[in-house]
Amino acid sequence: MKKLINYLAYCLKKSSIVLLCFLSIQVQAIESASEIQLKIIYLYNFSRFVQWPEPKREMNTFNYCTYPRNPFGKILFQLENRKIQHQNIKIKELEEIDDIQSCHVVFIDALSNVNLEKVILIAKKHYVLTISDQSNFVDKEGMIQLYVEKDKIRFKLNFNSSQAAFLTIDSKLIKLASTVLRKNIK
Amino acid sequence: MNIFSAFLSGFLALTLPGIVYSETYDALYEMDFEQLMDVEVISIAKKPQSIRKTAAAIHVISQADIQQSGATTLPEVLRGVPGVQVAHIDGNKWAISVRGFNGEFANKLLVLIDGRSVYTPLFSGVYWNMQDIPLATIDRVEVVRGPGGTLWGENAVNGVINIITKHADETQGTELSFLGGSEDLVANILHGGKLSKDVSYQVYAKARKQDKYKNSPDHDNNAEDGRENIRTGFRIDGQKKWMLQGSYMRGQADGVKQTFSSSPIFNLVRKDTQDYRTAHLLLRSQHNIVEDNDLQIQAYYNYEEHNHFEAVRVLHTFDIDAQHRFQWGDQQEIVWGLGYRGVQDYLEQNNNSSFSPENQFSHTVSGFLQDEIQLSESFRLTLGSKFSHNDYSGFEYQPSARLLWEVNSHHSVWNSVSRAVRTPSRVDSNIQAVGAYTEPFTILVNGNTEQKAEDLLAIEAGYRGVFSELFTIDTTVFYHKYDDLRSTEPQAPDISNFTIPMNFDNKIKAESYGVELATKWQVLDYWQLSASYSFLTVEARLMQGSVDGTNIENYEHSAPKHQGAFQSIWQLPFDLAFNTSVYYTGPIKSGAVNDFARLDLRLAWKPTEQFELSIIGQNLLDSQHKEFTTIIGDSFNTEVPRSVYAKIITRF
Repeated sequence: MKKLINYLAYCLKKSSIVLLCFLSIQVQAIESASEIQLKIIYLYNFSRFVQWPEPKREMNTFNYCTYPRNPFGKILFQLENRKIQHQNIKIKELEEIDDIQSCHVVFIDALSNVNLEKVILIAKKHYVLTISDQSNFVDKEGMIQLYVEKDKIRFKLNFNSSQAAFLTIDSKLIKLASTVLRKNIK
Repeated sequence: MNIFSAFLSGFLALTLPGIVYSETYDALYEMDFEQLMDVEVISIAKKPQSIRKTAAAIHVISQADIQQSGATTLPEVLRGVPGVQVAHIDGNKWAISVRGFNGEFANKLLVLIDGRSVYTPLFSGVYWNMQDIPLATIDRVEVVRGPGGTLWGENAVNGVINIITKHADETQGTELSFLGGSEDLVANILHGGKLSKDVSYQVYAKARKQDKYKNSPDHDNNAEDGRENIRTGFRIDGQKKWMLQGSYMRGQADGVKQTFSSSPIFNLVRKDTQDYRTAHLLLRSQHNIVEDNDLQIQAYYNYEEHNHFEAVRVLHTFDIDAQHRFQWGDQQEIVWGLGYRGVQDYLEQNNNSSFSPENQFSHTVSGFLQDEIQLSESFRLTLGSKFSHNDYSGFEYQPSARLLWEVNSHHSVWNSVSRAVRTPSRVDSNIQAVGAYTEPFTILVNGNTEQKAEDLLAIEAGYRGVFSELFTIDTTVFYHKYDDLRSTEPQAPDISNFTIPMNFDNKIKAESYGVELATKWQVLDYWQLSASYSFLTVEARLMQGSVDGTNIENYEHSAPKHQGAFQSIWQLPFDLAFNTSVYYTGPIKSGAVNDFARLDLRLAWKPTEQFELSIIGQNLLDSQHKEFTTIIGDSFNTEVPRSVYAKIITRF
């Protein structure tokens, strides 16, 4: 046992020297990341290309909500170190459907059973951007639907839904969406 | 005490990663949206879609899993897979089985490397020390529990282990790796390149020197169980259309064996060095006739030679298989195939055993048909059967029916009824061996040319759930009913030459049932936990007319009732990773092996794709422990010592 401890101590000493030498190595370009991490970055980026109406812009914090559960876990809270324009980001894990009205963005977890119609209704009334990884989310009048295709994250956009909630979507985001649902209003 | 230490280390693994880091991902926030859309998703919890849609108990070990486990040998890669028992007999021999019936000559498990059976027709088990392929060439290992006879054929009774190596396109460049430590010394070189635009190749060479393990504490002499071997091989891929591969291996494995003589005082316990050689050549060609209509033809030759107790035993295997898959209408997919295998053996007599006849050529012809029917959007039924004829037990059939219900995209339930057989091997049919000696008689074990195949009827059910990207669960329950298991029937003593013949027969029935569970939990983005648990009970009984006195205990108690594994994979800042694996194996009654817990730790540092350094500690909880006892007697089983390794990989 003593021999083992000595051996380990020796290895540790050796490796810490090696470590010090290499600490200066630069971080390389990121080519891959975990799905969860990437989705969070997407959530963050979407809000940079959306304009909220006055009442939302005047709020103290920029509220990212999950309903009815947070599928990202604690990593989502890394967003709280960041800002959207001048508003500090706040993460809210909602349990009550009515609390959605306080959000700027709400993420609906694909695995949860929710009353989607009611969510959409509240979102429309209170200028909330709705995002989900549920299949057919945009067909059910959700605004942004995330999905994975060939190991890359893609999204669909329902332009009419966002318009109905008085959200202004930057043309860049529209260009990047793989599908944009837009009904021709005659 | 063992359970306590297992919990303690589990607890440590759980509490250590309390530190949160996020700097690494800052770069992602700074990226342009267009750049961001090119970032690929990696998800440790992600499994190929097809697994979720399989109506069988299947567990896949990826190359990443192999690296993270810190395993230094192929058998160790399998440790922790639900339903699988991996036990060291000595430094270079393993007892590996699925769902019980374990032993050095465990014979109810089929093992394939790229579709080539590495299961020796000699005793229908696997010489694990002869399968020392470079772990870096493995793409994945699929472990199927339960019968796989319909697709895989004979001997896929309790399970199939399918080792799939990487396409040559994926091993381009040169990789050098070196592993050194208290028990093993392994050097490996892997090189890949292009022969033309569409043809790529891979060559490798590997050398291993394994140190002696330890005898049990009451024997103070050194264990004689070292091993040395070299292996070299190649693979050439013409895109996805054809593949040619080959290997050559040569090695030496030490062991201690008892030889019996006419009087017990002359019984010898002596060092027994086995020289072994293997070689193979395999050609596979794939034709895509039209869309969803493929034909695959594969042929291989396998050479196996053991030099053991001054006798040379050689087996040549020739195998050819054709498989055709096509869509029939909108709802059905049909796969059918034909196969032939021929085995020529030359089995010299040694002072313990002989075969009669000494040389033999045996044939197996087979055909199978499977229909996968999409009954509705969420129900799929798979029906099929294998039909074969072999020279030992004649005609065999192995049907199965499997039903899968995909409740939704995240939950699926399946169940199956299937039959599989283990056909008699050369040992079952033709061996004559000295089994033991009781004053003044010698016990002779005799093969039986009338030996029938052992058969299994299995009923299984399973559930798979993906509760989010963060949590997955996979569980199976099974009931196995075995008939015609091999028994050893003592005969009347022969006074003329003082022998008691014991003849093989098929007079044991058994039933087993169990539960297997595997879960994965992505706790945090950089921290993954996985756990598995297996429960198994086997009950065996003699059929009328049997006086077998040894096999019941062995069939019932050669595997532990409870097994568990726990693994934590923790990505640290500064390109470090820290992995913890804890394995628990319950007591094994046959051979009186105590329960034990095993703790492996691995700290790896991978600053660039070109360089990786890791330190691996194995069996850290005790200075040595026993994992298995072969039925022959426990004095020849050695114990697994604590070990520490360093491993360096460079790529250029």
